Amino acid sequence: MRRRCGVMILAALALGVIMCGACQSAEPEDTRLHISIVGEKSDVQFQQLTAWFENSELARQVRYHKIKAGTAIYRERYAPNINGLPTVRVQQPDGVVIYEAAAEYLPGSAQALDRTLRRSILAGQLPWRQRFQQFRQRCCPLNQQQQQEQEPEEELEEELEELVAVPAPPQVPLFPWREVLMILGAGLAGLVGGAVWQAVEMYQE
Amino acid sequence: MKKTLAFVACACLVFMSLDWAVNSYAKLYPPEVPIVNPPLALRPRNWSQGRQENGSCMWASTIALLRWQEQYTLANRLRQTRGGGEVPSGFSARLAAAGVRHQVESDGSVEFLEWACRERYGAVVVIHGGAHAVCLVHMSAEAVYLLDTNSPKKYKRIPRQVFLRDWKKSGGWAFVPLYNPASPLP
Repeated sequence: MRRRCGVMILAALALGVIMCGACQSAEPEDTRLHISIVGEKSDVQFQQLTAWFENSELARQVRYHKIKAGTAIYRERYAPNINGLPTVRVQQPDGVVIYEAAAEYLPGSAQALDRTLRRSILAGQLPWRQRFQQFRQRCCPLNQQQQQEQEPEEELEEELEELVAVPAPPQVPLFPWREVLMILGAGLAGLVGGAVWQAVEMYQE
Repeated sequence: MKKTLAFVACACLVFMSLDWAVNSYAKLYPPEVPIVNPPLALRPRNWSQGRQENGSCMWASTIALLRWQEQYTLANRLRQTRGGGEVPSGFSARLAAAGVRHQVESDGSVEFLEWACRERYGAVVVIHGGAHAVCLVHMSAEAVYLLDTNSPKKYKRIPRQVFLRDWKKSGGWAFVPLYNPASPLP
């Protein structure tokens, strides 16, 4: 009985280590979403979309960005990564896109726009979905291929290269050794616990 | 019963490990640093005004943040009509007179700076004993990033404590333009 208790305590400790690691990695962050509407100033569809959105309740609950094509901000931060104009994009605070549509794929009425945005936000706010989309967006071979294709264009811009040479941001470990070791440790603890359990049962028989 | 419990425990462990692995992998790609990252073309260089030997760092920093927040007309108007050295006292009134929507704090509130960076606004802060003003564009637990209009091509990374000490010695003054900063990169 004591041994079984020991195994259970060991398993609980292993779980605790995992949960503790998860808690330590969670940083308090701002949770407001970003909604960007990007388009030509003279475009009727862009004007309609901005008017619809600005008059909606949702505009007061998120961070709204109205970006006009042709500006320096548009050229550097939006033009390389949108599929057409006008574009509506919903992003999580860390930049992960949870909804994006452009031109003819955009909703055709104020109600449809509001409904579409709310649905996308609801779906994007589910934690497992957030992580899955983040994972998919950054791991998908297609995305990697697209990034590689974009690199030569970026290399042409000398000034941007200088920006890349900015003093190094806070370093993030290249491989999550700590996490891997903890997972392996938890697995080992489970293995030892199981072996002990089996041995105890065999001994009792 | 034992088998069921063991199965549930194993399933929990597997799920948590997967969830954790995905989360850890995502963390390998940190978000954009600095948070406030105006394109090079939008960063003005400090200029001297008239007979004054000192520059216009306060106005240049203000203009950089206004352009980041898509206030090009207002920023260009300030560039043409304002300049020269400024001191924090009364600058808020001059900003208001120029039509700049803003918030000022002069009590050395670190929370105010953190809020300004988190909201992607950035802040104009006074350093070097009140002799210079720069844009605060990022704050982390270890370091801050500054955009100095004397050398606007690159950001300066300074240990957080060093910056905060200098800033507080200089009066702990900061102001934040309140418009429409750009969204994060996808």
